[in-house]
Amino acid sequence: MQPLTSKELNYVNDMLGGEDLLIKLCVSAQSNILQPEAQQFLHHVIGVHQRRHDELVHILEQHESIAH
Amino acid sequence: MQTQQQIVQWQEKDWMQQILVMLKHQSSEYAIAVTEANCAQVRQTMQRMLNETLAEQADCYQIMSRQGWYPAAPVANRQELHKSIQTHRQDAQTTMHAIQAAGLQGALQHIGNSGQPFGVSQQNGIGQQWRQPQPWQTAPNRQADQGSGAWQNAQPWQQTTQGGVQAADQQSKWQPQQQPQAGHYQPWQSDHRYQ
Repeated sequence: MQPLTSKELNYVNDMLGGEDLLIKLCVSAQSNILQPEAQQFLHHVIGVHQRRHDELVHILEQHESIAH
Repeated sequence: MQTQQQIVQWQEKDWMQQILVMLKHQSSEYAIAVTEANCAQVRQTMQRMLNETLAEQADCYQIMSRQGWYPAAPVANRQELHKSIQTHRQDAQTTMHAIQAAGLQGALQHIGNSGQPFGVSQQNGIGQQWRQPQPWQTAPNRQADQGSGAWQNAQPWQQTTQGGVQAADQQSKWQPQQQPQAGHYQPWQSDHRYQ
């Protein structure tokens, strides 16, 4: 494991923002969509994006210990 | 005079369209994040998330398409397609001669309309070549902790529920790729129309 570069940190930050926004978008969409298949899809991917967001934060935490 | 206020309300397809746009954007961003990664663990994570996001975008599109929420794309003209093929075959021929003139072997023995899909050629097995570690990928000064060839190995998203690793050429065939847990397809993936 290598220390994070500033560029890497920026990208992880960007991806985290994107995942968070997708969660919010899917939550809003779910309350406005009645179609069952789309509902199921949204319900599922909300959890997926949460998991991804969590994993990215975990990467930052892992690298914190080896940061200067 | 009364002014009519038109309230703009998003329809179901508008919400899905917005999600689709965001997934496409997120996919591009993940791709760049992969290329900008320095740490092998970060790169592998970003690459995995890229592939997951692409699979999700495919699922979203599939749902929209089934509901008629996505306009059908215009089909390419046969004449234009033929012209493209001719142009690119000519380019490949020129390039092949250049490779041979440079004393290099290259991947192809001849350029022709063999009818073989890419990577299935018996002469060179291009599809197979992608999967083997190359000398520069096994150099000793690569990061030993993650393994230099780690991302050359079959990744989870390349394994279908039918088992086995898909060769690179087969991934051009669009089928639901989101890897379900415990081998079960999600309800919206049960339609095998596109396989």
